[in-house]
Amino acid sequence: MSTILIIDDSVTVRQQVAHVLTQAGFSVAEARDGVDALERLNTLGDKVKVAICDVNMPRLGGLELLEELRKMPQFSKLAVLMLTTEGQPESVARAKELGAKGWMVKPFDPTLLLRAVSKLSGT
Amino acid sequence: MNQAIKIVEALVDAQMRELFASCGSPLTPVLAEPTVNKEGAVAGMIGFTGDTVRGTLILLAPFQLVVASRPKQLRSHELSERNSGDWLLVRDWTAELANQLLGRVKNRLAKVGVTLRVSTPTALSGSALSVATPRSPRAKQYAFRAARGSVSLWWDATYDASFALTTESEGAAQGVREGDVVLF
Repeated sequence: MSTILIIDDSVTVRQQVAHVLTQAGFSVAEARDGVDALERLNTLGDKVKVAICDVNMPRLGGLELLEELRKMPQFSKLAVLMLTTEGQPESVARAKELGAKGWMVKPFDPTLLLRAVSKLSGT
Repeated sequence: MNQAIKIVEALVDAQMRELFASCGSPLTPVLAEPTVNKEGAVAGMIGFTGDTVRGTLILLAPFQLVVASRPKQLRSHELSERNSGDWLLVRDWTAELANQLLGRVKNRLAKVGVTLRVSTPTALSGSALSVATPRSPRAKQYAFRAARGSVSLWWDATYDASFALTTESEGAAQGVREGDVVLF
């Protein structure tokens, strides 16, 4: 089963998402912001099929992380699903333009999250 | 401007109640200032700024109420006020609640022409927590009661004289609502 990277500055949100995903058989890794995520991705390499990413985070936010990932061809197959409190069309459009594969607004429905992650990971 | 501010204040009130209801802790508004057990209280804070409005949202709640509103997937793990590690988790969730509340308000204000930029949230806890004099003369305090205690919310916003709301246009692009997912 694929590894999913959960990127959020809230440990509670990371635990919640991890609980939902591990119950469904996914393995998970966690990062607390965009900088941490880049370090984790460099370590885990192509084991990570999907990243679930918050937008508003310290050090490096979600949209800025997408910009960084665009410059790194080794992560061109990584599917990024944004999971955030924000829902404005401008932000959603910006994420799509930067290569994100989906957008979800907190609080999330576990069933919809699992469906989205399964589709993006091809499982 | 006053009518616009009243609409914002009503929006904050409604979103606070919707948020806590979605977390399994429905709130009842109360007029009197609630008594929060300040020995066991935690405050979540997040700043915001827009072209004609700026300020801070502060949410103050007792430990047990925050615990009761944690995601249901995590509630089987009980948290104790006597465990410092559990306080970390409660502060974390309180900051996230402040973040989610402001996110809801931000998304709805965007539809009526007010764009907010938000800071990252933070939280603190300790004995005898109290909120300093609000910065704005228009600061609004809300008080609610829930099964596990009382919650206070401050919407400490300063508005420019030009602050106004536009009419929500039917043809405008719609954003993504809470709980929804859009795949590209």
